[in-house]
Amino acid sequence: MNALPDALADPDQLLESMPASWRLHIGHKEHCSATWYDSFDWRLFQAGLGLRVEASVEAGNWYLLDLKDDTLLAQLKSSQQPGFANELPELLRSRLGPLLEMRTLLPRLHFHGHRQPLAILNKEDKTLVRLELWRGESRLVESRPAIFVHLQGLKGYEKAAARVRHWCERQGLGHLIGQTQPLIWLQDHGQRAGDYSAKLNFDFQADTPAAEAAMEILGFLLWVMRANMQGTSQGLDSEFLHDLRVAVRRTRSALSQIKVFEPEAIAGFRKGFGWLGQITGPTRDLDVHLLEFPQYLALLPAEHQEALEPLRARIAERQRLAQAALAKELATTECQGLFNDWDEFLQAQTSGRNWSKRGLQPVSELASGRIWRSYLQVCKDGEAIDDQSPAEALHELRKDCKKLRYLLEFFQHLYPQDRMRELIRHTKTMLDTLGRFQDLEVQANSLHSLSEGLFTQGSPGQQAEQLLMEALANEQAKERTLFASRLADLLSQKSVYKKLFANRKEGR
Amino acid sequence: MKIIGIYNIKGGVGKTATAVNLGYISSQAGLRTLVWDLDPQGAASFYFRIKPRLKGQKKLLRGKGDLDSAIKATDYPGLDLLPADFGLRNLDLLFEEFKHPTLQLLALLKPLSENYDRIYLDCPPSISLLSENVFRAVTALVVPTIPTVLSLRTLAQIQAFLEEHKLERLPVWPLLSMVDRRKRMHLEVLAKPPEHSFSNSIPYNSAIELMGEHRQPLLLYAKNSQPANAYESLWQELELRLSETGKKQKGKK
Repeated sequence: MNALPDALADPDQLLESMPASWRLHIGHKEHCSATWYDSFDWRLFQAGLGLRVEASVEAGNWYLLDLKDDTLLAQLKSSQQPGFANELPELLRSRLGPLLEMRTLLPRLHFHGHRQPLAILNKEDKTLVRLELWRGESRLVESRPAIFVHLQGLKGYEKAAARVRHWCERQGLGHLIGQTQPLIWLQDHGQRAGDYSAKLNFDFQADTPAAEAAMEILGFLLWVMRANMQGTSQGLDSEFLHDLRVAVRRTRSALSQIKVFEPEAIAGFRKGFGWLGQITGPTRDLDVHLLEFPQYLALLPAEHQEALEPLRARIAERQRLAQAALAKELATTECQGLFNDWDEFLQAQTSGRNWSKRGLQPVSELASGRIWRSYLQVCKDGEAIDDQSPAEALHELRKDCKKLRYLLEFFQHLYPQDRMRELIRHTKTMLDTLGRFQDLEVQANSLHSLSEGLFTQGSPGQQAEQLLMEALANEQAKERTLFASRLADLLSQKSVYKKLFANRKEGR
Repeated sequence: MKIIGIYNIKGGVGKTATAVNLGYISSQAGLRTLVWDLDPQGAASFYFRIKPRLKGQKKLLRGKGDLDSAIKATDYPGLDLLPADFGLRNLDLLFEEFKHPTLQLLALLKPLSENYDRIYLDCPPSISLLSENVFRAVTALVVPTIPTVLSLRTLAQIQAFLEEHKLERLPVWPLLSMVDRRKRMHLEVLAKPPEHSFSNSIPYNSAIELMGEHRQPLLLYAKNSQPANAYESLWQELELRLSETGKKQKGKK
């Protein structure tokens, strides 16, 4: 971070150094406490927005900011804490709801200190520009005070704001200007706004040894798992658990598909991640029920919807219990030990001394071979399915498609991007159909089981539940009808798969 | 977006004070608010300390540029002003140049709907093509009215004009303004107010006149005073009526 100019070490000196021609209105220095909120995966920041809440006696002052233009988009007072989108004040709900979806807002940076408001006026005593000098501390960094200059130009007075900005820059304060400064300041102190993403984005090259590439993949997935543990344990929002489970599934898939380790060396870890997938299942299933509940209701005629409220309440209660049980499991030494031991194992592999012949081969050879074989398996299983095939056959195909998709995603950057995007898209579309088909059956069974004993015979609730079961069965049948065309799309990619992946040696 | 016209043929009835104070309360409630000072006298602009323009808006009305570029932020977050423009004193003549002369104001205001939740039009005291534009653009017309016989007569003239121009459906809401309870006539009118009057009235109070000295909305220097409380209650009543009007219009669709 740039050194602070001497003038700003004492904001009073800064005031004295301002041009005499400026008509200043100097407000009272006041204590301020501000928190920047965003989702765990920085959805607001990624969308160029910032939400700052300043505590005050009556109610918090909320400021929604455009980070690119450093302008205020909305301002309101509210005594509530930022949380889920559907609980936000109306002014923000429609704007932030689509961005946040099911994620909750969390405090990401806290600042406390003082601010000195200033206004630069014209001869009519009309405010042309507002400035605030912020000086204070942040919990994240203890060593030095944080200094920010909020410069707020007013609509119609842009020239005045530009003149003030220009003066600040000449004083060496340019880098401190901006309401986004706290988030950028995070970056300067070893943390980064926007640093969490579960998206796969690897650096290994085509000729990187397969074991080294596997280490990078597995290391990243371990980071994602660990990053989501606290949020999962606390049940902050359902995406923490979802991201954790996806990372666990990808890890298990990588271990079974990228065979660069001795089986006995990783047997314990495969069992451990299997266990982790298992203990997180019940909570996730209940999360999905709650997330999907509005869609369930939408399947029913309006007059039947309210009767299902007891079912929703029961699901919510079961979810709370499952979440509590999960938190206990995640706190056990078994769980913590799994991550620590896995981390140690991966660290130990990085020396390359124990790599097998397969581990030493270029990753592109391994990747191509695995993808081609995986695709052929999908084709074989898919072509064997007809209208009479049991649901189990589609479930198995789904597993094959997932393996294929994970492989494509792990290694996508090694191949032409536009081709890979298409292949992943087709696989994803197939998986969406298969997933929906399987999930609808599972959900229907689960909902039926959850509603046991809840409604009396012939009651509106029971009628609504029966209607829901019928509706879910219909939806499942619809997905089944889509299967043939999805499979046809996937099979039509054979020549592309062959060109990209076949005839490349996979070391044995 | 809702557009509220603050209008009366008579001058000196409290239009500008109403537009400025309601606009301020609206912005404080979190609604993005614009006040358009349509009166070349520029009283609203004066209260907000924003210089009226000499001739800029004519170009805008001729389609060269957009209204947004003429808007200025006031000192109050969420409240902007389209300042008075002396060049618009012959606005009627300008509107006559267009094919649909009575719909020009509405056409100008439409693009602002993305940026504002409420627009208050501080209208000049006249009955003209500009007034007709206002009547065709607004969601509702608030008519500050001093409770005297002559003022009620003026109200009737406005109603007659609207009927003549097939604008009977426009909500016209009289606002009893500058009410002096020491005056018998005022009390008589208060007892039998005109149809659709607001139940809240604005008292005659020197604090309101001091707006010209303070050059601020009333609530900033006389918070919790009788007229300030009256404006706040009025604003709430106005918002309720606007939401009910909105529901009725949706129902008709």
